[in-house]
Amino acid sequence: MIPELGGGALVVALVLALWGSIAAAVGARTGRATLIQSAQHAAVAVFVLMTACLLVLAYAFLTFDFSVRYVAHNTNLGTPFYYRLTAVWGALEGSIVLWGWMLALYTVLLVWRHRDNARELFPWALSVMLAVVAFFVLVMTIPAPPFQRLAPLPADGRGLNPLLEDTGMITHPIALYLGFTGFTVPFAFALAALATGRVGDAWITATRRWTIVAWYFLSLGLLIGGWWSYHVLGWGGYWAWDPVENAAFMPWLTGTALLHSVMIQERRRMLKLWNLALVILTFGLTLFGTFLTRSGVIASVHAFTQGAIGAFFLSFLGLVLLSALGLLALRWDALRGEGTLDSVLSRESTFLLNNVFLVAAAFTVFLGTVFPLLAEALRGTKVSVGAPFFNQVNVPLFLSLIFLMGVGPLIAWRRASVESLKRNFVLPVSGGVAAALVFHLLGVRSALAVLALALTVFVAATVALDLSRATRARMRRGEAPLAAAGALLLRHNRRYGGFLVHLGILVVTVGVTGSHAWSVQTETTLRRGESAGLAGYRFRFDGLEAAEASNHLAVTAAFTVSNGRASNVVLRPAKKFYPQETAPIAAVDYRLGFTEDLYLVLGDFARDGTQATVKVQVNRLVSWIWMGGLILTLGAALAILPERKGAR
Amino acid sequence: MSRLWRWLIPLAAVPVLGLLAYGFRVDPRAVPSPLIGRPRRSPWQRSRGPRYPWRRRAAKWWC
Repeated sequence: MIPELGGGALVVALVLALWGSIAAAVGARTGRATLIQSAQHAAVAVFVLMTACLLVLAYAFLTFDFSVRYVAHNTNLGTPFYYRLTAVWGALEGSIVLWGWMLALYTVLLVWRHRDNARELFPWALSVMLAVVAFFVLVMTIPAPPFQRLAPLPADGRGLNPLLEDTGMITHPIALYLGFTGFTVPFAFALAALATGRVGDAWITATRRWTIVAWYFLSLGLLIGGWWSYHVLGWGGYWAWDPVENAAFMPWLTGTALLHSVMIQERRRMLKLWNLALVILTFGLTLFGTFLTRSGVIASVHAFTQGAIGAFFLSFLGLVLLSALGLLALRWDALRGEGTLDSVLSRESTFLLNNVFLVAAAFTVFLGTVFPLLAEALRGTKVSVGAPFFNQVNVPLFLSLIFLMGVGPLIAWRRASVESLKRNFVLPVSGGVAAALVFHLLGVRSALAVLALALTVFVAATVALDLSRATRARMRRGEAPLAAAGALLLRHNRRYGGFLVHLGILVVTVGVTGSHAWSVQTETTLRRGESAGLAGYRFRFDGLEAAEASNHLAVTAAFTVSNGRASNVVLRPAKKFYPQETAPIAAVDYRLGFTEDLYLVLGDFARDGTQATVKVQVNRLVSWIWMGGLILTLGAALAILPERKGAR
Repeated sequence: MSRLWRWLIPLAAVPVLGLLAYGFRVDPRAVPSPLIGRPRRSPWQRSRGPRYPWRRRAAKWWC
C-alpha cells in the first residue's frame, strides 16, 4: 500500500505542478487573477503532496518495508534508527525526493512572501519555480522512482553505504540542498524580469535576501561536507577537489560574485546584464552539480548511479541554459547599464575585479572537473586532474580576492582621492607589512604562508578600522562603546554581516594556510607495548580488540598518546567490516585542539593483535577552518535579517 | 552588438552540453576520483575483511 500511496502522490503532484506553472504564466500574460490564484493553490498542494511523499518514504524505512526497492537497497535490519532516517536521502531516489520537497517549500515561501509585493514579477517567478518542481517530480516518476516495488520480498536489505553512517548525514545534505535549491528563487525572478522586460532593480530587491539565504546554506553545506571528509573518510584532509566538492563549490563562487555585483547595480545602475548572467550561471551550475553526481559521467566519492537520469538532467540543463540565455539575448538592448566606471580607484572597480576573479576561479574549477571528458573527447587519452592543478591556479586567485576583501569595503564609490586612500589604508597596509616581518622572524619560511597571513592581518585591520571609526562616531553621540558596536551590527546588519563573513573567511584562510604549511605525519608499524614519536607526541600501541555492532564488526586498536604536557589520552582508531562492503572502512580517532589536531588511522594489523600499522598526523590549525566557518555563517545570518528603515 | 551576434550567447552553451553528453559514452572509473578508495590505496589499508555471511566467519577469522 505504501508504494502506491507515494507513487500516486507523485503523479498528482506532477499534474498540479505543471498546471500551476502554465496557469501562472497564462495568468501573467492575460492578467487573469483567478489563474494566478489557482497556481498559488497548486503550489501549496504540491508542497503538501511532497511532504506526504517524504513522510511515507521515512515510514517505509522505519518499518523496514523491503517491498520498496529503494528501502531494501539502502537499509537492513541492523541499521540503527537514526541512520534509517538519514537513509531516506542517502541514495539517488531519496535525494531527489528531498530536493523536490525543498523546492516545493521554497515555492510556498515565495507565494507567502511575494504574492502582494512583486505583482508584475511574481506570477512569472511562480511559473518558473513550479516548472522546476515539475521537472524534479518527473524525475521521481520516471527514471528514479523511490516507491518502486521489489519482488520477491527479501528477508533483509542490502544496508546503507557505511560512509554515510555519520551524524553529518543529517545536517550536510539538508544544508547543501537548501543552498542548491535556494538559488532557484533568484533564477525564477531573473527569468521573470527577462520575460516581462522589467530588467531594472525590482528583481534584485525581491531576491537579495533569498540569495543570501541560499548562499548561507550552501556555505554551511560545504563546511559540514569538509568536516565529514575530515573525520569520516580517514584520509586526513578536508578538501580533495573531488568532482562532488567542485560541484558545490562552483555555484558558491558565482553566488558570492553575485552578492557583490548586485550592490553595484543597486548603487550605480551598472552590470544589469552581468547580474542576470550570473544568476543564470549559478542556477545552471547547481543543475550541473546535480547532473555530475547523478549521471555517472565522472567518478566521484558521491556519484550515485549511472542510468537514464543523466539524460533527463542534461536535457533540462540544456533547456534552462538555452531558454534563459535566449531571453538574455532578446533583452540585450534593455540591459545596457546607465552608469559608467568613473575611475579604476573606486569601489565599483574593486567589486568588478572581485567578480572577475571569482568567475575565473569557477571557470578553472569547471575546467579541471570536466577536463577528463575533454581530453578523452579530443585526444582519446585518459587524464586525471588532481589537487596540484586546482591549487596552482586557484591559490593566486584566492589571495587576490582576500586582498580585494580589504580594499573593497573601505574605498570610496565613483572615485577615491589620494587623501582618502591614505586615511583608509596606511594603517592596515603597515599592519600587513609588519605581520609579514614578524611571521618571517618567527620562522615561517614559506613565502606563500607569509603572504597569506600578512593579507589576513591587512584585511582584519581594515575591518577593525571601519568598526572603530563607526563606533567612535556613535560614542560621540553619547553611547557606551559596547552599546555603540552592538547597535552598529543590528542597525547596519547587511554591511556588518558582510564584514563578519569576511572575518570568517580570514579565519578559514589561517586554518587552510596552517594545515598546508605546518602539518606533519608519519606511518609506522608497532608491536604491542612499543612506541614511536611525532612532533613532540609519543604514541604507544596497547593492543587490539574486536566487537560486533548491529550491522558491522569493528576491530579497534588502542594507542596511548602523551606529549609531556597534559595527561595521557587513549585514541582508538578502528576498521569496520560491513557485510555489504568488500574492503573494510577506516574509522579514524582524533583529538581536536585550538592549534593542532592529533589524528590516527589504523592500517594493517596482525590478527593475533601483536602488531599494527598506524598513520599518525598532527594537523595544524585545522580547527580554525571550522571556527571560521561558524563565524561566516553567523555573518550571513546577520545579513539576512531585515535592515531597519532609516537606520543611523 | 548586432541583432545576429547576440544570438551567439545561447549557442555558446551548446559545446558544453555536447561535451557533457559525450560523457555518457566514457567509463568514469577509468579516471578515478581523488577521494574514492584513497585510503585503500595506501599500504595501511590492505587488510581484507570477512565477507558475507560475516557474523559466523568473523568469529572464525578473529580466533
